[in-house]
Amino acid sequence: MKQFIVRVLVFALPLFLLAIIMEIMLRNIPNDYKYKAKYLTEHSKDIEVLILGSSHSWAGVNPYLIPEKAFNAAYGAQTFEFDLKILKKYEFPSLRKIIIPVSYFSYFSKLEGPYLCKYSLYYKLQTDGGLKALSEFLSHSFIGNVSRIINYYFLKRQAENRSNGLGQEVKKEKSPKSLEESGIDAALRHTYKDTKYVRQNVLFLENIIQIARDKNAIVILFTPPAYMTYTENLNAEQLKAMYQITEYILKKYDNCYYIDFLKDTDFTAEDFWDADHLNARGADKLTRKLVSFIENVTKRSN
Amino acid sequence: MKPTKSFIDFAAFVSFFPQLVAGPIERASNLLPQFERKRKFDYHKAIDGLKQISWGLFKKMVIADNCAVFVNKVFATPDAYNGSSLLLGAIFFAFQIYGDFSGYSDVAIGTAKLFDFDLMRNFAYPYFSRDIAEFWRRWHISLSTWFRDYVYIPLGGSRVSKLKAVRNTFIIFVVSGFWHGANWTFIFWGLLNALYFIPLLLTGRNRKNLEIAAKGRMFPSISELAGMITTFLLTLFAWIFFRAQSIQEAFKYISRMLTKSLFTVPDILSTSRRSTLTLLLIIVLITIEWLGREQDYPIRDFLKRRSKILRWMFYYAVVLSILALQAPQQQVFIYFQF
Repeated sequence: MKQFIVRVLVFALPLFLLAIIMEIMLRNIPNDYKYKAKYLTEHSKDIEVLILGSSHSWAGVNPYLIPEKAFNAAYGAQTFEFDLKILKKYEFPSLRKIIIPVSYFSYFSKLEGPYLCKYSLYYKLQTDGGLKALSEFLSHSFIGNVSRIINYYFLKRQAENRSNGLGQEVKKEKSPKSLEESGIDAALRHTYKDTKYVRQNVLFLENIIQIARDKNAIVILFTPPAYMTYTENLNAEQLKAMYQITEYILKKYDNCYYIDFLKDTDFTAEDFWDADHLNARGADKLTRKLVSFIENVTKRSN
Repeated sequence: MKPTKSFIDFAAFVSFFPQLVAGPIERASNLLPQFERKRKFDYHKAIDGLKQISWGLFKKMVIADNCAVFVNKVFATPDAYNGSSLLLGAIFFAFQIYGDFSGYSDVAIGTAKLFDFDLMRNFAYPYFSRDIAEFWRRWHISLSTWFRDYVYIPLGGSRVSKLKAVRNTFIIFVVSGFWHGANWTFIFWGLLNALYFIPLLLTGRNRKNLEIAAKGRMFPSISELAGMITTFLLTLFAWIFFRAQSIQEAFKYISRMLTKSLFTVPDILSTSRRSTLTLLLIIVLITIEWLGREQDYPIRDFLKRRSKILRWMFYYAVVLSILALQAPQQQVFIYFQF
């Protein structure tokens, strides 16, 4: 038995070493989560407007166009659960407004897979991803990890950080995928077979609104604009549920406001990067509309 | 065999975890005495077990799961592919189901070896079979022998009139189809295999090929190669029914496959680099299995006469290939549903 254990350990040792070296190298590659976590650690006390949510707000809301001190803490596939965790962790003593997208999928999705490790490793948040979520090496495919290391360390290609100074991802003009193709793909991807996460997502959002209320802050909910190839392929029932839940939230909380841009005709094909993400031009348009909406509601409430 | 009076031995036999979920289907006569005897840790057996586990993982995670990516696409929308892609889809399924189930069996057998248990062999290079009777002696052996002993032989087996032997063959294959699920596709798959088998039975050639192909030689003879290719194509045709959601879908798949586009380059290879990689991996699998076909599993004595460094490099290559080449999405074991 002893000989067996020694042999197995000797055999496994180079593999463990390889895994450890790769883990260290992967964690050292600059990425958005690391940048945002660092920014929030240093500046959370000054932030007045916090943008949370998924890629729809990450790419769609430009914090530079917001008059107060704003930061875009959204990220691709980020759910209400992690919005809440970020809000709780950094406290934001100066917070006045929270901007969160309520997309077609927001009440139905749950963050799973490789992104979980980013929240536990860089934001130091607790996740339910188990051991995998504590390691970059385990969270991504081996080939993917090798290519990330080669790209950053050997080919000296850009780091994985896609956010600008205030956390927004500024998307170029157009995605390589056509609006038709991306619309159908995204609508399918965002349509859920069941409603098992709805209840907890609603609770997470309510918790965010309650925290905002305790801070005398308002919450701006918005449904981001999307191109017709996306909106036409949405499941009517899921969409209806999204509106009904949002209506329920609005009735329940007086510090919460909502604006729907989903089929806003001011947004044309030129404003979209793909069918459900705005490019830089579209993001500026949306942010201006949001700022104007916020001004109106704050005037009204005063 | 004598019934055991030990509840612990009985419970351990019934719940023996390595093979509990999907086999090999163990008989009490083989496994129960192993619980009753005193077991000790056997270094060589444990190393053997680890090698078999790693080979099983390679077949499951690298071969089967990669094949599954394309099989799922091709069988879901056969209209979107040309004939050669559909043929490739069927070939991928043949290796998916083989890699999936024989991979699981290897992991189960290897795990049992770590505890000094010997489970029965479940696969013996079925795709090197020269006729369908040989295929069924090499595919899911624990189930085939179970059906043989508990269905076929009680019905009289082949020691009855030819008519009854044909009836018994049909019964065993249809029951085998039913065992996989209450769907006409499985019944049809069973019937097809019966039809393949009966000519061999009637001509007395069903026990012609008992040894592994080209035993003691590097290359097969022309007739052996022809037999292997024919048998593979016959099983491939039957697998289409096994995989399809309905008989109609299977016929639709076949009719779309058997068109002029069968003789063109598979469009799936040009649209996805991963499908080309999967095809290359299948070729690697076939090569390693052919080289090691006289062993219980191919890498058991692979490079045995070579230096230790070379052998360890090979084992590292197997482990790293599992890490590097595993499919982007893991698939549930197919046989867990049966």
